[in-house]
Amino acid sequence: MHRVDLIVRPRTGVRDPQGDAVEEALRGIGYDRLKVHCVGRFLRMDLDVPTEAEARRLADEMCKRLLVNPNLETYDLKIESLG
Amino acid sequence: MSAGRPVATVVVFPGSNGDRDLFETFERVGFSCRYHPSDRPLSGDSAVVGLPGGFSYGDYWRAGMLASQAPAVADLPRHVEQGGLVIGICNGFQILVEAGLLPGALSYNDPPGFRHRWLTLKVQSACPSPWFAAAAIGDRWRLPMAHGEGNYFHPDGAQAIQGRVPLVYDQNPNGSLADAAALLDATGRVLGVMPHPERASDPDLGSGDGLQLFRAAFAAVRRDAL
Repeated sequence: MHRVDLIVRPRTGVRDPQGDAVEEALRGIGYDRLKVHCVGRFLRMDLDVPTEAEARRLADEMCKRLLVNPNLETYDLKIESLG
Repeated sequence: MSAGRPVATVVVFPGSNGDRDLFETFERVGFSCRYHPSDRPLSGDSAVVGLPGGFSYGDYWRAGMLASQAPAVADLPRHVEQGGLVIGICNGFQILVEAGLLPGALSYNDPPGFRHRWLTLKVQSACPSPWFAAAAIGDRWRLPMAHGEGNYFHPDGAQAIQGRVPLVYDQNPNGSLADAAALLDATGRVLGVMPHPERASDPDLGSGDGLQLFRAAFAAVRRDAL
């Protein structure tokens, strides 16, 4: 069993109005020394597969087929064995 | 096609809210319209399939992503191959893009925020399409918008959608590439449109300009059936 943490975020160079809006809100409540780099999405799932390589292969496939829009987004995977 | 009036199908997703507006508009121009649940394959006798506005699956993860996997949407390429027409409005446009029936992506409005107001749009020259067969280049249409994720993007820039944008914003409300308010596929039969033509189908309620699309589609379907 492997735990997969997926982070999806806007590609560099793609406008991120969510990030801009959150930064503006934080500034509005007094945090003026900050720069929000991006706002993204997070997904945690467990995959019942024996190896980390297989977990990564499946997670990459899910990202390509459904979870990530390559026109706008990029992603990172963190994979951990649950023993 | 059934005897008599040509059939239009409105696919209803969990979270659709423009389905009735679209149904009424199809009926108004002469189609025999029916609702169709998104979790069932299309029945195959429709001349036109419409994907309505709304918030399918609550816009979870990415607007239109979950709906793009529905059985009724999976049947759309076959429907188009057989000569059928498709219109996706607002969330329906997002679903068509997510399903790969139209290129590019739709993302958060820039500047951010949900916007709903009347807009002026301009008809411009694009590839031949039954939806725009009766529209005059340069005409101004008045349609309402109501969306937070209508910012059209294509990684290869405006050149990638040249000749595919039949309708542009007079004043771009969402940051869309090339002021694109609508997009056609290569056949001209699949139309995604971000403002709401079905909510501009009665002059007494603000505008009847949206009817032009539906009347043109009806005329094209009738002509093909002869």
